[in-house]
Amino acid sequence: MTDLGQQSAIPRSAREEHDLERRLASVFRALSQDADVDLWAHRPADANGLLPMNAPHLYPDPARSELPSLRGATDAMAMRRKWSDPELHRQMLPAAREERLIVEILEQFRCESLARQAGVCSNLSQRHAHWRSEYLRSRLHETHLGMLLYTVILVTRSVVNREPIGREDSDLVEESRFELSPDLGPFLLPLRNSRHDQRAFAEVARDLARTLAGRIAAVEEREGTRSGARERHAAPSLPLVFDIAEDLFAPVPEEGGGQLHLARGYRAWTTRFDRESTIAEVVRTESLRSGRTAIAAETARRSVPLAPVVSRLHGVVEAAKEAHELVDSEDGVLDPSRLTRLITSPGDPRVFRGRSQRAEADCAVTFLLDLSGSMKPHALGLGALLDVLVRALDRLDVSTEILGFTTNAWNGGRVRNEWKKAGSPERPGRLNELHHLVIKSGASSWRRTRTHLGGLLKTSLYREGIDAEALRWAVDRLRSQQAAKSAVVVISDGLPADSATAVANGDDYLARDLETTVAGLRRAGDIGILGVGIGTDPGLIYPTSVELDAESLGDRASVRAIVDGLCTVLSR
Amino acid sequence: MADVSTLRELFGIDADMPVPMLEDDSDLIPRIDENYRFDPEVTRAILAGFSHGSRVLVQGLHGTGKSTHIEQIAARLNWPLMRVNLDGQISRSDLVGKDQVVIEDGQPRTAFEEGVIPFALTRPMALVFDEYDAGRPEVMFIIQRLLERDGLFTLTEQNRVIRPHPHFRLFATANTVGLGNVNGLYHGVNRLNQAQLDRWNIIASLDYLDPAEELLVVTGQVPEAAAKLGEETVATMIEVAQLTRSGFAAGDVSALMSPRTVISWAENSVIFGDVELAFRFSFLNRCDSTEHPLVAEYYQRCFGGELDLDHAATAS
Repeated sequence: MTDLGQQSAIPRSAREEHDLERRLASVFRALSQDADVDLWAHRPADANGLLPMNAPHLYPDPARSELPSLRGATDAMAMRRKWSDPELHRQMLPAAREERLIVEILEQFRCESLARQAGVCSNLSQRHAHWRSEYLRSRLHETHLGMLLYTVILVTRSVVNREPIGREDSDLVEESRFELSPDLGPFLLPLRNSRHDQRAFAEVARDLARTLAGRIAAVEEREGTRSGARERHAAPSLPLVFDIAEDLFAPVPEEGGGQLHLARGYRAWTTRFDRESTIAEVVRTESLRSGRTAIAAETARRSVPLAPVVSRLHGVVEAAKEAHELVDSEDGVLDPSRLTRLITSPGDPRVFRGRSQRAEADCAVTFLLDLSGSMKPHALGLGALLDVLVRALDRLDVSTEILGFTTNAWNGGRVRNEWKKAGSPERPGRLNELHHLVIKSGASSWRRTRTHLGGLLKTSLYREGIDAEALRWAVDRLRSQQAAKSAVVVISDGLPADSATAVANGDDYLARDLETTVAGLRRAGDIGILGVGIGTDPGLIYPTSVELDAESLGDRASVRAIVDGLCTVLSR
Repeated sequence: MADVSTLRELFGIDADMPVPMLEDDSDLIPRIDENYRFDPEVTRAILAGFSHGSRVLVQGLHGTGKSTHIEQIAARLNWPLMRVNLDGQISRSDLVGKDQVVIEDGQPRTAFEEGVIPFALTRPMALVFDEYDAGRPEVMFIIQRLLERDGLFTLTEQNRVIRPHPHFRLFATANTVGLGNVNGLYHGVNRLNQAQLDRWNIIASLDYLDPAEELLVVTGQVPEAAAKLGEETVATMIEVAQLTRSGFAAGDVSALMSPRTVISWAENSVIFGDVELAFRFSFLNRCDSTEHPLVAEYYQRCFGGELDLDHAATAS
């Protein structure tokens, strides 16, 4: 047995937390047999945004929950995704809020009762036990209404799941169970018997919910706490969804946190003002030259020897070439250097040079540079670093691109103005004008474009950073080169940042999109991705990453670290 | 053609479709695996290929047993069969043939040595192109010629036209049908163009066996497993395999457990008397170490207990 099950007692680091969530998301996909689902901050989502799953036990606090509890919550979501048709569910939902809540919870239990795997069943049970103890600890059951709901949940789950109620709970709910039995009784067997048929089950659940709603209304009336009770329900330690968001059919905004405002995945308010230009179009030739001179001086000062860099990369690049170069081939053009073979071993037919089936390039590497404001101080070191790397790759006939991303404006520019004019609707998506820069394209030679590197010193270009869209753009360009092996190296000094977008969509809107993009690329697997962080650990987003110290940019150690990272991602 | 049997007699499938059998004793006839389970629909599609000369493309994920399916049918029909994998390594000359340098009477000269296609084409033989969607364009052009309606094959190298033998049959298997790389699963897979696909008369899809069927296969192949471990355990092993398959389809793991893997896991479990240890030998050690924690999660979901990863260095 590993310590996996017990490690939760120790607080997890951000990195462990992240890895665990990725792992659970993978399990979510495997169990639900749906490749599109994902977890965002432990909430279920698919390509269109958050999935409305409103059962109180699905959202344990990840920072304070044991592993079995988190597993159970994920498994419960997976069962729901697998066994429940959301469209049918939506049609069957009653209008009244309390009734909706009960139907939601019952549908969740129905799906969980269909779990077959032993481990999944035990995780679900543990999650439920944990939820019960949280509920009792938060003393929500001390109100009449809280007790009533607790009883309904316990009784229906035990019937649908055929799992008896534990002794302690039995004693606890005995009274309210008795009180409820005329209301609940007639529905229990039909619930159990229709659990394989979503529609039939939902019909029973609706009837049950309607009966209970009457009772709940009466209780609330009596306690006079129609809103007060719910305020207590919203105890921060326990994300009980006893207050179902009115816009259940839209994604559920998180109360108080305002974290996940993603309605329909990522979008841009408008792309009309986005532009893509070459560095020569936006920086004057003299500036390019003077910048180039400064970078060359910095490179000389750092004096990183090229030979070791080339030889380290050589092995990986050659492996890519071998797929294409066919020497010692059995057909093709006669290879004069092999003719002696005819004499020495007459039976050996390998005297030809094959017509190599070369792709456009054997190997292609793209450097994608974050040109947001905070990167300004690193421009010179970055230039020196790229100077060495691109020269080394160029010697090995690797096709290289240097691309940069920034924006045309601060504070959203014309995009934000348009959005304002439209009345600032909620969740507008990305609110700025992208500016994508081609500093060196794969088609151009280093010799002819090396002065373009000087454009990095034009710091007026540096504004805001919208990484994910730039990454998708860089990858599209890379794929069009059809190299046998390709990698993209993203160099940045932090998370994506764009003030206007963050204000309108929440702080992590862009970071989420970047995570999703990187995860998707990783799953596609045709392109290696290396994240390089300047003074920051990019490991939370990029599976393969290198952290560089700002002072060391362009020195031997920094070049070597990137080369090692490149070797890793290219040799996969 | 020797005699004609029916689907029911040979494959246990409830239909009276006649199937042709050859009288042949070539070494290229595959060996019969008594425990092989035929998918009724795919079997009928492949048999249509054998009896009417239709060209059948079988599509399905890795490990669904596409090639084996064709092979086992050929074995029962007594039909010689050759499998050619069209992955990146095969070249035009392997298929068509090439001029070889030979020494005759002490003098070097070139002689044409025929490739797979001319060889198979002139014999009663089923030719199976595996990984059809990974074929390189210049290889696909050759096959395209083979797929032309009349089936005549021109050897430009020799100014010769080859007429196919009446019992020559052509099959292919692919991971994807013409969609190229579905969600990045298969590297080096090319989009099959419509013209290519149109030339296949029948496209059959083979999915994984359903768990109950797979249980029969595994316990059929490894009878000791059911006795020693219990059917319950074998069924759980198949559940783990299913999770790795959906994980693979989602791109979360780079290896999956095919029915073959489950069989070797069952065999090893019997040998070592330890299901968990056998799992490490049969599957876990094949996965990238960064994926071990995830595979352990899959394992936990099915068996309920934790998989001990301390033996394997984990990189997480």
